[in-house]
Amino acid sequence: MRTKANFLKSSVIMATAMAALSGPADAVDLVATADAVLVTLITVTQNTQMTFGNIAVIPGSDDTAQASITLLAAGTVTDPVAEANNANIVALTGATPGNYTVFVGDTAAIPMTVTTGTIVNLTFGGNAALNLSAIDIGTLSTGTGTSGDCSGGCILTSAAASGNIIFPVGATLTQSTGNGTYADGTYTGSFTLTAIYQ
Amino acid sequence: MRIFKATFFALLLSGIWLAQASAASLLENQPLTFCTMGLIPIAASGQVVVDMAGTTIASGAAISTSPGQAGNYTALGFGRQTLVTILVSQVSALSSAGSPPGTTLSLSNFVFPDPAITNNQSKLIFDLGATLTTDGTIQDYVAGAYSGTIMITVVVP
Repeated sequence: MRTKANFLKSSVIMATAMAALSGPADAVDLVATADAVLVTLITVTQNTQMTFGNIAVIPGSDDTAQASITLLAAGTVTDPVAEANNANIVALTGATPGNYTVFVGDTAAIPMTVTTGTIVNLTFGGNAALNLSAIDIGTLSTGTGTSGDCSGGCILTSAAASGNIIFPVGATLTQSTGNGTYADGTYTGSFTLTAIYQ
Repeated sequence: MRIFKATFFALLLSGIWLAQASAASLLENQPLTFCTMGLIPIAASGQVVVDMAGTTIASGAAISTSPGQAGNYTALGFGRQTLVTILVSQVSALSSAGSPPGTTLSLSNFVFPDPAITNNQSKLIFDLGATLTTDGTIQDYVAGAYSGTIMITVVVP
């Protein structure tokens, strides 16, 4: 049978053991996070919006042919004669090629793949659309590289002094329907211009 | 005899309470955050160094667009004026969901106080810096939020 004295002794031993457990720790771990945000430094700026200016769209007698005009990147408009069904588009005034700047993110000569794509045809209300096609990148005013039809990607290199590639853009506009209805108004569409490091 | 039992349990509970109060812990006050940065293929790799003061220096293919911030942590439970050693290692490199394989950012050259001593409140508050280095081809990186993990250990030598 345990005596009072014995129990006090065992209590003291237990307390001593607890004190040892509650002493300063030896080590502790933490799994912490580290973060970064990566942004693209490439910018594409529209200096001048491409516009076909004022045009006259003349419907043909049927839809066997669709008229078109081409705005060259150099600035001139090729204006073919009427189609056999008399459909025609006549350029009047104000046609201006687009002009764009690709900044590569630094003042350095860096080759880029520049691609034209995702065309949205020009529309106005419920009228027949004017189809946009043959997006053409003209001669670079800043930077180097072979431009032209860049729907499959053109390799263009920025000017080291500015980090810029600057170029004009032309395209072709075609009736979606040779004998469609084209009411007066502003027809608007779009195309994408993408630049990535080559 | 009942009094003795009560004493025993009181001591036992007291011991458990003391053990809980002095358990060591390490808390993250501020995660290690590198700058908002861009990568430009003007070099094969890029680096960003964030020191313990948060000073951010980008080099190579990396361009910093806003400064980073040193990590900040609090260690508790090591006693007063105790010399401790801090150990830091990378658990996982920084990656972004959906980014191409290999386009990770590795952590190295961790900088932290050495030696480190707890204060009179048994507390150690310290900063952590590191170097971030690209692992992949610069052109393959995509924009996004990148996150990784590190293991921080505070130990009494």
